[in-house]
Amino acid sequence: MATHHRQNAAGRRKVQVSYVIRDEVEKYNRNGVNALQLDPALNRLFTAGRDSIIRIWSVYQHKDPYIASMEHHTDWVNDIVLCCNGKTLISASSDTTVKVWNAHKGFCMSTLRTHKDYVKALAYAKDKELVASAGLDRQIFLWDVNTLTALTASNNTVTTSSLSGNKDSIYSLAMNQMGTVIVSGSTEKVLRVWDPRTCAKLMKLKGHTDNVKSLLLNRDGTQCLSGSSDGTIRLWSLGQQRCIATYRVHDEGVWALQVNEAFTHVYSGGRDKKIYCTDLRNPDIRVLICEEKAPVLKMELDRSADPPPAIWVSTTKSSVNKWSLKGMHNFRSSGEYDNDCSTPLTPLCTQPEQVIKGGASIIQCHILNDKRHILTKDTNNNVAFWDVLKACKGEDLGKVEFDEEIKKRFKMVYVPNWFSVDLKTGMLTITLDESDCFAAWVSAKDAGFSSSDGSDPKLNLGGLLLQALLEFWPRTRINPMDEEENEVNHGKEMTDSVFICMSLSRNPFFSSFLCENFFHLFSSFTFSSSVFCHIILALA
Amino acid sequence: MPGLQGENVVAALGSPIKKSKLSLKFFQKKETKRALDFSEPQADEPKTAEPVDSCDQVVPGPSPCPASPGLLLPCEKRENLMPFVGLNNLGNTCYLNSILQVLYYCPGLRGGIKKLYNLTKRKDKPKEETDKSEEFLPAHIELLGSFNSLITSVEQLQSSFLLNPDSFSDGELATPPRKILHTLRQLNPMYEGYLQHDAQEVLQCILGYIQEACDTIRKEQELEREDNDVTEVKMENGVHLDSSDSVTESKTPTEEDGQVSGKRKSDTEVGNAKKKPKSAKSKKSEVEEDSISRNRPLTRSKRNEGKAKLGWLRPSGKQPSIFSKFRSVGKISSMTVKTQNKPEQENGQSDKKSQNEKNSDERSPQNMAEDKRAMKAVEGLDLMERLFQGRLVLRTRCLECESFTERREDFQDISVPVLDDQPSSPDDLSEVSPDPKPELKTLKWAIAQFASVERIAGEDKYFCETCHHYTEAERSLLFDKTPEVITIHLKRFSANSLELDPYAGLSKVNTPLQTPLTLSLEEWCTHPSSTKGQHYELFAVVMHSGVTISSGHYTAYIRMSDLKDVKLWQQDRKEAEKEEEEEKESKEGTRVKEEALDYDDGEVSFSLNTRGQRGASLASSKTGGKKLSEGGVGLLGGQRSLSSYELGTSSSKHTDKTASSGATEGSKRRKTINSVGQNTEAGLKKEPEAGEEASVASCDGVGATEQQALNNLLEYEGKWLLFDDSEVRLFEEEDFLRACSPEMCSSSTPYLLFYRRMPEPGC
Repeated sequence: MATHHRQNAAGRRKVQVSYVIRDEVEKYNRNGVNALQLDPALNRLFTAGRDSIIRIWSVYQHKDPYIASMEHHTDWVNDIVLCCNGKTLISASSDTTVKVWNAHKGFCMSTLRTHKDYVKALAYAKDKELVASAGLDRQIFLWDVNTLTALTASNNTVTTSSLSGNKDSIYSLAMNQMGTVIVSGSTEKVLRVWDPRTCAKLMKLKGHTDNVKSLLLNRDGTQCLSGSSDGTIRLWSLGQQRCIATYRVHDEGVWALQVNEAFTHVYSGGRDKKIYCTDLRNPDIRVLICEEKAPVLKMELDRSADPPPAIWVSTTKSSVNKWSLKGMHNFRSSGEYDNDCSTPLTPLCTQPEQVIKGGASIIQCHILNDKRHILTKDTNNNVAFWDVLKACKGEDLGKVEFDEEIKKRFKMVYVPNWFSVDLKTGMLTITLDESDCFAAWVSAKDAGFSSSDGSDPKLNLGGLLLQALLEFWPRTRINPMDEEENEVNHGKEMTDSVFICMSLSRNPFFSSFLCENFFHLFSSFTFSSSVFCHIILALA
Repeated sequence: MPGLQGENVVAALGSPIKKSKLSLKFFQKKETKRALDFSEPQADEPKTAEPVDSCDQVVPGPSPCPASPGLLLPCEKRENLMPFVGLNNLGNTCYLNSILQVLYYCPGLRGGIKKLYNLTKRKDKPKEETDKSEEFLPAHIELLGSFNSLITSVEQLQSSFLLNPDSFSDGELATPPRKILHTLRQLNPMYEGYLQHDAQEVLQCILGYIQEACDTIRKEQELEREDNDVTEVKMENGVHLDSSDSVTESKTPTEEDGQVSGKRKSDTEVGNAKKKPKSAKSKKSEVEEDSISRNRPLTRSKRNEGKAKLGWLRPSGKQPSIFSKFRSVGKISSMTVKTQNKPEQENGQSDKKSQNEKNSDERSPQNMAEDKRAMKAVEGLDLMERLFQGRLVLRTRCLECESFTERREDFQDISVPVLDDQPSSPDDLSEVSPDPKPELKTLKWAIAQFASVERIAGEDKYFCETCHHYTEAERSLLFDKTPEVITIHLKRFSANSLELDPYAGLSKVNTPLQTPLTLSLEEWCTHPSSTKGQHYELFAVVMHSGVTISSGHYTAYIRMSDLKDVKLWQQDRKEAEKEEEEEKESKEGTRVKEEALDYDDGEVSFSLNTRGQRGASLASSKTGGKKLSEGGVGLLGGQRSLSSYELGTSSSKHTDKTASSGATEGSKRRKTINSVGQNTEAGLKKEPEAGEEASVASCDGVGATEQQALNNLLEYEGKWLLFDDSEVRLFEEEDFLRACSPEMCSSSTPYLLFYRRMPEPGC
């Protein structure tokens, strides 16, 4: 669970309570995967999902690779980096936070709330244990990982340096291993280069004609590779401050880049779903490794040997594939590469070596007239029927016609809106807004509750729900390890549950509501045990 | 009618005297001119006054602007007359003249108009047979006619000059665009009076009306096809206009807009169909009323000398409203603009009319949609679409998944900025590798600004249907379909903080913008690779000279092309034309009178209501000020330069010996101002005559002289000519370029740029 800070125009804080209706353990990615990290020591793969969950997978466990989930973000996780030899994971999310995790045990150690918009990219300098985060708020913050991991409840202030000068939203970031150069790519279409040690601007590199979505730097920070939405990959010399080569291998935007240790071969993927390996010194030598089923979001090289034996690829679909590169090694040595760019290449692999299966994500939803039930359709075209009040799935309807089902379940009633739904994570997220969450009053009978004395009181759906959320607040979720979590939030620190109670009690209507006697009704109103209710408190 | 002659002479005699006074006192001149207008109806009291014509005649003298820069002395011009026809200034009508000249030389338009006009004639004929007196002509069809006759006059005048240049040695080669101005005023009351107007607006207006005319013709043809009973259609048109017949429906609002404005309510309430007979019948009663009400204008005009001057100097009711349409968002002035224009001129007028406006507003998009569906496109009917109408695509691209959605929108011209609204931030200066700021903005830059990418980011993100998430997005404008002629409107005005006064709130931007002779739109097209014909060449520029946006003078630079296609008017061809012309005249004779009556009526009521209108104008100017941010602004212009004023008088001295006196023409001629009693006639009438004379003269050696004449003309191919009302001058390309893209700020600046598609190199 986490807190959200959303300042509205008036500067007043808006209280929102959100919860996700989902299984208690979500073993599969429910949406696209934005980032990948391999821990070569433990042979684990970390995936940063658009379903807001970072999952840990055992690479060698082909059958059931799932190890654990790291759940604390409330929106897409956009990037992750593994530091301290795999002990610490840092994640950046569209919930505007950066989180520090104990990667081995899988819990969140601290939350950094300095960004004011989606955090899109992270960069890591291994030699200095330095991490940089950047996002749509045009800001770049530098974090010392050792300081971050040393944060405790009593010592929770972090000093960061920020790099200014970006004029547009940053979509990509790279730092060399030595921590001497940092590069950012943005919709400004130029690369901006700083020295993270002095925070001094070094240069601007112009050439791309669209957003820059992927960046890589070599070890000593003399060369930079950039992949852009304009469909090109460019190689830059930072010494000469200019572009030294442009590679046009993709038909559409280049979204992901990886490079071998020697900085001689670039692996690229993007919107055209294809993954190529291109020789940087001889661009005619390129190999189409594979074709994915969806636009490629991120790639991670298996560096257990040189040349890399395999590459992990994540896309906007929920499954993650591992593609073998061994064939390419043979291919290259045989000298049979295709250097004729005009003819379509045949892919090196047609089947991935390994697949981490993903789950279905909800892509369509319809709130029924009773303002209590929702119909959804997922990527597998399965239609489901949900109960918002009980926070559970009511029925799996299978592959039926969605619109037909809506018509079939239409009821001639009018209930005001008291919640909103969004599908950004691929799961149902229900949000109650303080402005209208108590708007819906229905009679207890209509809502299907039988009271003991046979009376028919009016019930407030939003009130009922909030009450239930607190009543059945999952104590189990307060993991003992969570106690270590520190809010790096300008010195404010409190546990999540305290946070929730406080913010709810700030609403006068809610506190008076709590005093009313609806508790006897709750005997018939419980959350289904199979559904885990995950609560997000949004304080804006 | 003959009785009128005397009175007119009186009036005519009066005017030159006043004029000569006026030319000395700049402000008073306008005032007196107005006074004249009022006094004249009185003089005509017993008969139906014809102020339209008398006004037109009086006007040629007015309003020399105190300083109109960059004009040559008139004597220079007289020495070498260009074989191109100018248009006389009919009182601050240089906004119209410059636009008409551009349209005249606009490739393909002349022929198109003729074709359209022939279509309307075919249409009208059966009607005339049945009831000639009740002949029904929607005003926008009439505009087509008057435009056609203007084209004809210009062509004939040119022919006659070419064949016999000597006969023009002491005069000027010009024709007054009187008829088209009159029709325009009928269609759009905003153009009544002698106010200065925005050239871009008048262009939009004219193109819009021609488009409407095309639509009407197309509908009529469809109707005809549907029920072959032509008479029934006629009946419907003629009898119950307000019934829900589609043709009449589309006409009704516009007609009312045009004609009602100056009229009294009683006329408004009468249906259009009955308008003409009714006005004829009610003539007497109206005359009576008028005779009563006319007393007031008279007294007014008399004691007026000092007082009304103030009134004249004040912005009139209609002017501020023009400013109220500063379209901040409206980068595109699409087809519907013509309907947008209307509500504004109506500010301070009756509710009933604004109701009509709304109806027409609602209807027009519908109509257009229908038209597109029924694209059985009789040849020539798509003239406007083909020549001037392009399509823009508004493309919104999600930056996350990079998929985009599109919305298409038609446009007739594009408005581009000349100033950067975001001054460069000081941050830029500290950049490591700052890019040098270009000193002079180019047109390319301006178009890039127009098509600039807008980013949807920050607090208000774009909800992407693909990502199911709020994401950043880019919104860009691209050309989906480009027209044959692309009109670029330079937004030469900037809003100041002073919002109280609609004039002070806006100032003209004289910053020069580099205007290239050729232009490529490839960069901003949806399919950059597949577009071949996106290269354009400049063929005309409308210049505005003046330091403020509320006044100034318009001139037009036009590059001559396709002169080899110019044909001289032959004897036989002309004969047929003449018959046509006569026929038209006889029609006009009656019509003009009626219109004159309407017009007169309007004038009277105007003079009565001036106070009220002023009040309304004040109110509307206030709202105008508020609306500044949403409406569009134009540059007003219409002043005559001193030199051209003198030319105007000299031209009136030029006598037309061959003027034949038909009964209908008599009525025209008696309105002459000229002391000699001879005149430059109402343009339409004169030219056929002149043409005849010329061709008669050349009858013997026709072939040779014609060839010679045409060869003379061909010398001007590719040359730039400056059309300054009645004056036409030759410009070398470099001089033109210098005038167009001056080194420093000058008050004489390009305002409208017209580019034509260049032929494919392969073809």
